[in-house]
Amino acid sequence: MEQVFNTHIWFLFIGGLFSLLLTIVILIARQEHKRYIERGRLEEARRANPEGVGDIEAKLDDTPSFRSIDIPAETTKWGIQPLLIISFISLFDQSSTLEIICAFCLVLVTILHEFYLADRFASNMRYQIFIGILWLFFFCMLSYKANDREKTQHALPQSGVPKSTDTTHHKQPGDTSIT
Amino acid sequence: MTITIEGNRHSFQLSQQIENIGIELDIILPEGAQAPNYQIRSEQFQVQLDADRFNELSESIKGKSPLDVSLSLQRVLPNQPLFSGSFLRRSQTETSLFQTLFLIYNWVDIEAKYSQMQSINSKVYDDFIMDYASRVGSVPDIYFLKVQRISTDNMNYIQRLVQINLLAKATFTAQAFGHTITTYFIPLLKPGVSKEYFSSANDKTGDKTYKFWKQILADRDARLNYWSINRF
Repeated sequence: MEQVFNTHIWFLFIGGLFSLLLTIVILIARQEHKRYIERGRLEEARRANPEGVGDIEAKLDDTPSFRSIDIPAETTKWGIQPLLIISFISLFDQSSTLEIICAFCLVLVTILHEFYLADRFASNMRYQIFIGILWLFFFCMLSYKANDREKTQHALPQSGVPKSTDTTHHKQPGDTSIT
Repeated sequence: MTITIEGNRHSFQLSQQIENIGIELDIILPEGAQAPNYQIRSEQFQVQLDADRFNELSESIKGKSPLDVSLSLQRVLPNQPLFSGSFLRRSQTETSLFQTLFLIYNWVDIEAKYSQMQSINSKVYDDFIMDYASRVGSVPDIYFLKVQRISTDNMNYIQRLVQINLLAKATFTAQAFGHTITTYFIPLLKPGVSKEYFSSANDKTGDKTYKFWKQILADRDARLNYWSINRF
């Protein structure tokens, strides 16, 4: 268990999840605002035409553009972009072959998702689970790799560091006058 | 060729009887003639119209709200007091079903004239007609159900949906061949109906009927989306 949990990666994923949460909150707020305006319009219309409008909430739910948001489906629809960004961020420092391959596969999945799968299967439970598993897999994989990297760094303590400390601690003759 | 519209003529809150809304359209093409004659009839009235008059009438009520239809009828048919006068007393639901008759006729215009049942068959399932008026605002439409939805298993649900104004029935009959096409559609006036109205004798909780209704709406959304993406 400790092998597949890394605090640094965990914070990265928390950031990703919060960005997803922000998207969903904004979507819900926009939709509710739209529904609020339409509700007012329908209440006015009901006075003139009670037969045609009927029950306002049911009428709103029957109209495609004013339907209240299906939260799991919408989360699935927007859920892959933060993951893509996270996988790219993790490529910056000393990425291994596995990470590069996984990020490349994720790019392909994202293209498929954005152009076809999201529209088709977003409300499908199996697809939602698939996206969830993708997040879990990337978290475990990136944590594992990060832990691996930390271990090797501890085993070979600061192979490149002495040089850099030398350069930083080396003082120029001009600097002494300031101190 | 006869086109008949059936539905609940009152609002679902008042009455849930299904009845023929009382209006049939006969299209009579005399031998060798170019333009047919039309006969609109019901229990209360019977009107004979030539092609020009019919077109004028159908143009005048196109895209109108049910409240304006009776005024348009009085303007076009001033000498039919029974016809126009009775419309002032009719419910909006019934008036909108009357509008639907013209809408459907204009959709299957040529096929209806020559009683080409095969072509009608391909046009009145899983398709929609917009009641287009040249003004800003939402455009009302009617949507014909898919063929596979109109099965004997679903008949109870369909019957219930007709009772609560969410569906209506259209029948095309060619007397010459004795051939009939029956189809169901979502009418122009779609009231919002809360879930408790969906329950019936065959479906106590109303869940199945509600699910069926949502399925129909999903079909409609898919069809309209397909059109709006691929129309150019």
